[in-house]
Amino acid sequence: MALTLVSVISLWSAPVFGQETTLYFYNPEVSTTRNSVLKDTFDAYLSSKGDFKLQPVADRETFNGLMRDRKKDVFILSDSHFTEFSVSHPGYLTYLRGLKDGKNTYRKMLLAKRDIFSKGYKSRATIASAASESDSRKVLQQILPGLKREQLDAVSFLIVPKDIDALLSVGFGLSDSALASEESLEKLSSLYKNQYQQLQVLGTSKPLKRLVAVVPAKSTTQQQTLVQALYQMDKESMGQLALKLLGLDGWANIRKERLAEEAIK
Amino acid sequence: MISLLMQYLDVWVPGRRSWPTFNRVAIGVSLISCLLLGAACTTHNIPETQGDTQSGVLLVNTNSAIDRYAIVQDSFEQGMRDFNITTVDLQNDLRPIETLQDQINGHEYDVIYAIGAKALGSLDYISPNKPIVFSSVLNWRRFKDHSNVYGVASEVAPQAQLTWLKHFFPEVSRVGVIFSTDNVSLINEANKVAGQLDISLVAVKAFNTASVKSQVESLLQDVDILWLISDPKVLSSTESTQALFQLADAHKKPVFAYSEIFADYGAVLSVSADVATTGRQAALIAQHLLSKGRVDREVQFPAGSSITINLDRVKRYGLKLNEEALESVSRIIRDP
Repeated sequence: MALTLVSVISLWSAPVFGQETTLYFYNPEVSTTRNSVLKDTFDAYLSSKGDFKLQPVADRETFNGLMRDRKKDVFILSDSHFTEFSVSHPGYLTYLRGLKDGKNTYRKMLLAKRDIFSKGYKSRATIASAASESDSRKVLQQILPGLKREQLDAVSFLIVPKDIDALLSVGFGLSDSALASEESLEKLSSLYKNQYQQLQVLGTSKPLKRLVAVVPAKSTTQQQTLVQALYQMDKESMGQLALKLLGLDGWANIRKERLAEEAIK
Repeated sequence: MISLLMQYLDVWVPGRRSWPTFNRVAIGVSLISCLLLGAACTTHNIPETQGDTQSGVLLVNTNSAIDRYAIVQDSFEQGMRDFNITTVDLQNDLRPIETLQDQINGHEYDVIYAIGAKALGSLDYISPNKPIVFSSVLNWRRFKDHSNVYGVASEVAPQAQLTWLKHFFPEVSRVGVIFSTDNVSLINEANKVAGQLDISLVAVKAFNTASVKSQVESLLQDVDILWLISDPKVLSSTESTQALFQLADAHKKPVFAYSEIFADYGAVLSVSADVATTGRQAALIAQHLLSKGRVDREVQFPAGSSITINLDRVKRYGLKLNEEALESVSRIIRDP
């Protein structure tokens, strides 16, 4: 009996092989030049947990198509993207949300040496941003809701790979302004005080929710196992490395939190 | 010209002293037409035009079969999608100057974008009376003070390189660098920022190419890390570069480099220009030139960076890594 019990427990926790389950990833704030390093690192971690692999996706439309069609896989995407997607495609559940220093939200800021929207400033200012142009425009509208249409249209975006690139570009005169996270600004403050002190905050976004891991409502054992593997990433060194590549240090199990809340109600 | 061609025809046509007149005229006219068409006949570079035939931008790619040139072209085109772009690819073109001269003579362009040294060198030789924007040119400094030439340098600004170094290894305080007279102003700029980053820059001027190894050996005793900058007089050959890496490794000192090509030599960290961002920057420069006729600075440093880290080397040299910085890494490599 004891032997049977041990065997069952071993099977339950053993890596599940046989049917490959893919973890699709899309985040316009992560440069596609990093897809290789993300894939190699995630695969190194996931391969010990089962027949799992990471597949970064380069564009939103392709990712949306995969979410619609691939019902046996798991998806990591930005919260705003998922919110938009689920309006027309309900039937997905959010299981995990990214965490950094215990927080599941972050803020974006618009920074510059001078107010780029003030009268007398050049007619076409450049904003450096690590997000896609369309996402950058949305965040900019959210940060400065009073901006007129012609002011928004007059801005050029210089898309760079990372927030710190965006911030440094202002200091080096390569752009007039930068759209970057508050965390990145804090990094610059401890790293390069001189440049940090030259920047003024022109606006700050409301708290934005971090990345989410979602699964179709009717999920398989494989999908559940993959989600569990993601949740446990912070327990192993390769998992921790993969998390750091995403700018996270863990995941919050929000599905569990929601179920607990519903149980209380 | 026609008589010269006729004489030429008489020379190379075998066995015949003279051809019927109409054949000679027909062939001569055809050849002259080919010369006037230039690129289409003498090379396989048939220019492509996006949009209508009123050209605004001439894009000259040294070789679009090379990945980094193709990437930069693509991102430039994305940034200039509202403009008419004519593209010329100089791949396998043995007479690029002729190709480009014909193209420029035959069409009106407002700005020219050159990708790679062959493209820029050819255009610089022609010296068209139009602004030229360049990128992806290793020896860009040669063109720096040329009139009407603007562009994006190949290496990330030294200030940004040192900032990244400090971000990844906050405890590194003494950074050694050897340089030639080509880089005096770069070292001066780096010195200014080093203090702001809490870095002590130990800069040694190379006496000559032959003395570099011994000077580096001496330098290594006194620093935490060796910084390689773009300097052909210091990194004069593959062998001498490999020797420097071996020397640093023997002294258990890490090497930080300005390009990811040095990752294979054993650099612990390298900061390269992000290629796609370079194309976007070039597009913005071109747009500024088209709308205002000028830009604030002729040559900009790349705004985007691509970072490679060797985690085995980090461990090997006992460097304290700021793991938060891993969020910025483009490539992680290990020792073989």
